[in-house]
Amino acid sequence: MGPPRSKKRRPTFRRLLKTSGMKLENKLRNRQLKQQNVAKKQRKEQKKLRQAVKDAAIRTPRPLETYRKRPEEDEDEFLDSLPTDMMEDDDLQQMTAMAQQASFITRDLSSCGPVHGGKRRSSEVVRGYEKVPRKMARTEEKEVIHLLPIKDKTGVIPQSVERVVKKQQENDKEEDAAADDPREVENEMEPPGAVQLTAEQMEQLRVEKIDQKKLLIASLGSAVIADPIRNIKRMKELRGMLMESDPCVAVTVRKLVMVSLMEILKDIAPTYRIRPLTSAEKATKVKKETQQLREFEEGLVSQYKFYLEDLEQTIKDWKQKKKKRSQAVGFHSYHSLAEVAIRCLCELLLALPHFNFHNNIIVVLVPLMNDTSKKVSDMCCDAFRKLFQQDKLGGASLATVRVISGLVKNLNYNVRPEVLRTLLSLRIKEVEMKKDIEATAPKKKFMNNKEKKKNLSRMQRKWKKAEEKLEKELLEAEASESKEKKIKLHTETLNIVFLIYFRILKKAQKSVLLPAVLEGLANFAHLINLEFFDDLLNVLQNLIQSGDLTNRESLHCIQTVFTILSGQGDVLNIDPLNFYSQLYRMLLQVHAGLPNDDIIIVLRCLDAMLIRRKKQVTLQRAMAFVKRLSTLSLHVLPNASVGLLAATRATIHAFPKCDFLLDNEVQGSGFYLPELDKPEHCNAQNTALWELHTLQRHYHPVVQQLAAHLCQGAPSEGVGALSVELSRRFPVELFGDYSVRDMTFNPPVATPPTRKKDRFSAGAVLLDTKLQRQVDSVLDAAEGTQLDFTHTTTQH
Amino acid sequence: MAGKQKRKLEDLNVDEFLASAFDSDGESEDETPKQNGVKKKISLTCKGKASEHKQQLSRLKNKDPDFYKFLQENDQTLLNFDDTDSSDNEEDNKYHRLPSTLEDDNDEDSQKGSKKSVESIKVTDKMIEGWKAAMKKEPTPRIFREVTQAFKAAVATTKGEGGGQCRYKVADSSVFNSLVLFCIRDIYVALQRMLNLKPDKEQKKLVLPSSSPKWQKNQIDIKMYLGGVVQLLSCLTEATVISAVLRHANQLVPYYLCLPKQSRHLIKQLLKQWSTGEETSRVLAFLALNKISRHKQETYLNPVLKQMYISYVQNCKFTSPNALPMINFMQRTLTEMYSLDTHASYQHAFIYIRQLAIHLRNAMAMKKKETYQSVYNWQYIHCLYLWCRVLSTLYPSDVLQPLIYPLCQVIIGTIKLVPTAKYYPLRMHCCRALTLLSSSTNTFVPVLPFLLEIFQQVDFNKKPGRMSKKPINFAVILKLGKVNLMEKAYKEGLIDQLYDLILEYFHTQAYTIGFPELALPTIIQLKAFLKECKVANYCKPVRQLLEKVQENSSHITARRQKAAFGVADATAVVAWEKQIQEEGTPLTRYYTQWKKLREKEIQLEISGKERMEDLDLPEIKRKKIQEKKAEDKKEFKDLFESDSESDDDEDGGFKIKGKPLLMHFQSLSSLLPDLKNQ
Repeated sequence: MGPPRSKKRRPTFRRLLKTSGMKLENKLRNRQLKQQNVAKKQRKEQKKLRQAVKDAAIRTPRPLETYRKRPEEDEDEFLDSLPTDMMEDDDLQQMTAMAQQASFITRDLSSCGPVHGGKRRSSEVVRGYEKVPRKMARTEEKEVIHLLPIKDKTGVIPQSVERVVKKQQENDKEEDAAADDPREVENEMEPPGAVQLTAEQMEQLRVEKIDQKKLLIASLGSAVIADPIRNIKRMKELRGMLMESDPCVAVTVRKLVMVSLMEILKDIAPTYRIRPLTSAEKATKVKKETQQLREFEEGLVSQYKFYLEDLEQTIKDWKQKKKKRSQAVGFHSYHSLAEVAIRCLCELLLALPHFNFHNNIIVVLVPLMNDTSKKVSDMCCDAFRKLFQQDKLGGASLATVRVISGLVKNLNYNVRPEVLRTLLSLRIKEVEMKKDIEATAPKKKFMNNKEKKKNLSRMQRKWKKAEEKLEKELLEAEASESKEKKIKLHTETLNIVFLIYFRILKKAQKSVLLPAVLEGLANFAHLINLEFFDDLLNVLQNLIQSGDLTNRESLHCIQTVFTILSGQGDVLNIDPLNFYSQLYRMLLQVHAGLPNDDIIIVLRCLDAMLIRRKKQVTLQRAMAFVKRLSTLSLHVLPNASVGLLAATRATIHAFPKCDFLLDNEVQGSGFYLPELDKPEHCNAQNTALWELHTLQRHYHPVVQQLAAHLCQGAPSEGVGALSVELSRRFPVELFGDYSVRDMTFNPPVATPPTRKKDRFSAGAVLLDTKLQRQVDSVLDAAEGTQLDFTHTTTQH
Repeated sequence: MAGKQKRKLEDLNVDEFLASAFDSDGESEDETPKQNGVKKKISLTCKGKASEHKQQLSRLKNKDPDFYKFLQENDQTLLNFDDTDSSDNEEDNKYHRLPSTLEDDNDEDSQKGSKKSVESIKVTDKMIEGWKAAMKKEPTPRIFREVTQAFKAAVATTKGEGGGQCRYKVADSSVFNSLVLFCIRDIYVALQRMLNLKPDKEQKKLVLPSSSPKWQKNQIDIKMYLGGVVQLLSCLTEATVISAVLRHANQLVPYYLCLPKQSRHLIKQLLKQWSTGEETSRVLAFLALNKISRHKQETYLNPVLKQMYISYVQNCKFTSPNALPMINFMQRTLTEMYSLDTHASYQHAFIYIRQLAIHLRNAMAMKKKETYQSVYNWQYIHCLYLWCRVLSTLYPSDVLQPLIYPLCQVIIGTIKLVPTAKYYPLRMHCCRALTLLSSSTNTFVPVLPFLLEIFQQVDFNKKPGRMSKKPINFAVILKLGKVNLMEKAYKEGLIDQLYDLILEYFHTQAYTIGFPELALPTIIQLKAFLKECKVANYCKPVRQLLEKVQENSSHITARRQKAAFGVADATAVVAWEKQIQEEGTPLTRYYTQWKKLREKEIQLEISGKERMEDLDLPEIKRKKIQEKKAEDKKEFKDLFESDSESDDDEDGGFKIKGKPLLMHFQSLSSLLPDLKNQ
């Protein structure tokens, strides 16, 4: 890229009138300086380029020789104290050893560089760090900007500011990458040419080489970015550096190239997919510019393809090395190379979802989500989570979900639960629920000519025509087709997701994936197709009744069931009594200890079960739930208490008859049986919410407020009414608001209400009677008559 | 410092002025001020001018022959004025460690030269007897000055300086002894008489000696004497002696209050005694601190509170059966101090509770071992307990009430930070603190879930991996080792602790109208436990507990069924609860019985422990060192750094090494967990 272009226009006459002579002079000077700088820079760059090309030409033809100079592995350890004359013997040994492995060497020269991957010295790490920034500092260029002078007693003082020229993005990235892996910088040792070099010199040489390479990469990269259409060939050159063979810098240079290429591609890739030209298109003659563009596109696609292949190959190499432990000498650097490659792929996955080969990237990355290396799998899972979140069209999600489905099936459900958890981030809000509904929806039909002629007058026909035209245009503008397409894609995606879930529910109930599946089902329950309901309900019922589930999993089951039923399932006439009893029973197993966070699922279930289905719930059941909820709020953390009390409030509002629970009168027969797990038969109408008085003494101010409010029968207005910020929020939101996870105090700690002082101690009497006794006993104790101070003097 | 010196000189100048004034019309004055005036005149205006002094003395001889004779008999030195008169001035300078400054160096230098050549006078028993008799008869400023000089010399010997620059010399240890004894016994009364002070009739307000008209003239001597007492206190080591001097210092508190510098020094010493001394000295030091802070709240209360809290934190690093009473004592006394001014206490408590919360937040955010060690240590737990005690003792207080909520949240957060079996003992401490807080402030805190959770997490049916020789004392440990978790003693101890804690908690809530709901999960959990558990030893106490809780539950249910009011009627509910509390419930009755038994048990345990002490101690020590020392030191250093910065110079003297407190505290009651006495 060229130097920053001066944005200042040539001073117009009007401006000249306004600005002072000094300022103009400064401006002129600045401009001149800048031009000088630009010229200098260009010259420099050219020189560097020439130099780099020359270097590359010199070095490439003799890769084998480099091995001779490479020190023995162990030597790295002693590099600092190393007597250099010893090196030759070791080198010889090494060479013979290498000669035996000739096949490996010749097969892939470039991969031999990092053979010493694992070994490094910490002292050198420090030195490497030290050197990198120094180089950076040197490349920074400063520009002097002259400002208006200041005048004071001594006279006029000229002012100027130094501006650091921002380096190009690529360079930064590369430097970052280099800084990221200082060990890499240390990894590959050893210069080619010099035989009699000290370790330090070798190190220095290496750093210099890396710097040269960086400059080369930077110049190539900036050339491509500056004019991609013309310089697409440069990419090839750059890509060629991926095969860097100089063993002492190979790993670093490769990483740098990978990252820079990734950034370049992100920048220059067009926002549309490039399709191959048909032969007819090729045959026709086109304008010169079009021709140029076509060439560029072709070049870009092929370069992109090769680049992706290279990355894939790197990852494959690493995978294979892993299996063949015997040859895994440079396993470490393979590993780090592959990590960089995966990172690049993840970035591209997110940055270019519309571009060619996106599916290929997905296919490569999905199996890596299940990788044994946690870092790799986390990286991939994160990438896909983000992809799901930002994918607006749904195509990429669909492809991914397909591949995941295949993966889960192929691995026989032995995948990490995280893989399935990524599906939770799918952005699916609506799908084609019922095809028939859509089909019956009145479609706006345009009349054909015949009808028109029959029904309308001429004038009307004219009007109608104009109207239709307008409507058609409007439809186009709305891009309603893409929406339809999106829904179609979503439907398909969701079908595959449910396919994954149901397969696991049916075939692998014992697998570790079950919690993730249940969570997913609960999440997408409102989108489940009606025809699955029966089966699903049965499966869930069986699961809960088997008793193998943890509380949390059961709660997820219940949540799923009721989300289904409160959605389109309300047409089904099922009374899920069992699930009510289940939840009722489970309520007492939740408490302030570990399961406190399950309350949020409970709150969601309650919303679906009591509030949304209030028509189907009997008063008996509602009262039993109210009673148990308020009991439960005695045993959970304040945020859960607030949530539960808010849910109780909502229930009382939904079932106004619940105010029985505020009276102390017996209705009908029987006593309340608190330990019974059947909400219908526990006679909740015969008890009262006495625990609200305990809750009014709760240490948390908001719980106190809510309890007092409920005591008054939860009036929505008047004296006992709640404040707006409490009454307008949903229980689930309140649960989050008052969470104590990060030790914040919500509400904040109050200041003392009065300036009045409390009087506690009257005179010399102490508050603590026991302490008073102790004090008295000490005071009463007769003073020993024989006090002996002598030792104090003699001591000294 | 130069400023101070100057100020002092200015004082002297005032004195001088007064002295001359007295001198001029001294005839009409009574004897004491006149003498004083004369002496001042001599010492200050006529230094080095022997002839003038002699003239004055001879004039004195003429004017008041009796007094001159008395001087000859009792105080030869005064007559040898030319070398001694300046000494008090000189002494004062030395005490304040002042370099001889420009203002008076001319005089001083010449004085010094002459003084060094002259021997100090040796104090004899006879002299002391004389002083004593004179004090009994009629305490005069002059005698007081003599005694002060001698006392000063005596104190100087403790510093190893030999009192080279004093007028007197105390060489003999028996003389030293009798001199100090004489001082601490008689000086206070003598001073009171000398300054003509009468104790206030109502005992309410302290009579400050500075209100006496004679204060100004005696101020310097009193200052010197008080300084001597503090110095003496700083170098004593034996407990009985320290207590005696502390008693004396306690008497002298009003005098200290008039002299800011001396009282600062005294406070420093008192704090040292309060936090590291022996039982009696601790109590006396506390009384003195309390007196000082009470009577000069505006100047001393805040710094004293801060320093006491810091000393408390520094001295509760290690917890052993021996150290527990000390920590208890410090908690109690600190509570008393915080009761003096609740507004100031609110500020302190707010800051320190927030500090605890910040530590906890960091530990929660980092999720690393090092960070939660900064919360899971004794200092942190004792601080929590201290604040619980403060808030419970100072209830009801409108000012401190808002702090209950953050404190509860911090304690619950502490429990939830690492909720594993390893830290059950810590959880028990937290629950105990919460129970205390909740019961005495009439606040509801959910404590039971954390206790019941243990029943769910521990498999009591599993055969213990190894037998253990002695029971685990949960009161003095925070965490359990892997080995401990396998022991039989661990499970037995756990059941015991759970029984105690659950019973205690229910006891505090036994009369509340919501008791049945509160008890419901416990009943269900205990039933489930009894169903599962096969070990009869564990089942027995649990069954008993279950019965009692159920009994109480049905009692409350029956009573409230008959109640004539509804849930909305809050006042009726309060009255009802009060009535039930007065009547007593099955659980409270059982609890009182059980408590008696339990106390007896604990006493037996303690007496048994004392025998075991030698075996016990090294183990506890080792644990402490390896676990806590390093990070505690680091942790709590920065915990308080921000606060103590402002008075660094003060702190210099306060740094007390956290040495183990090897003291024998025999009072059994203080070993009991304090809840039981509430």
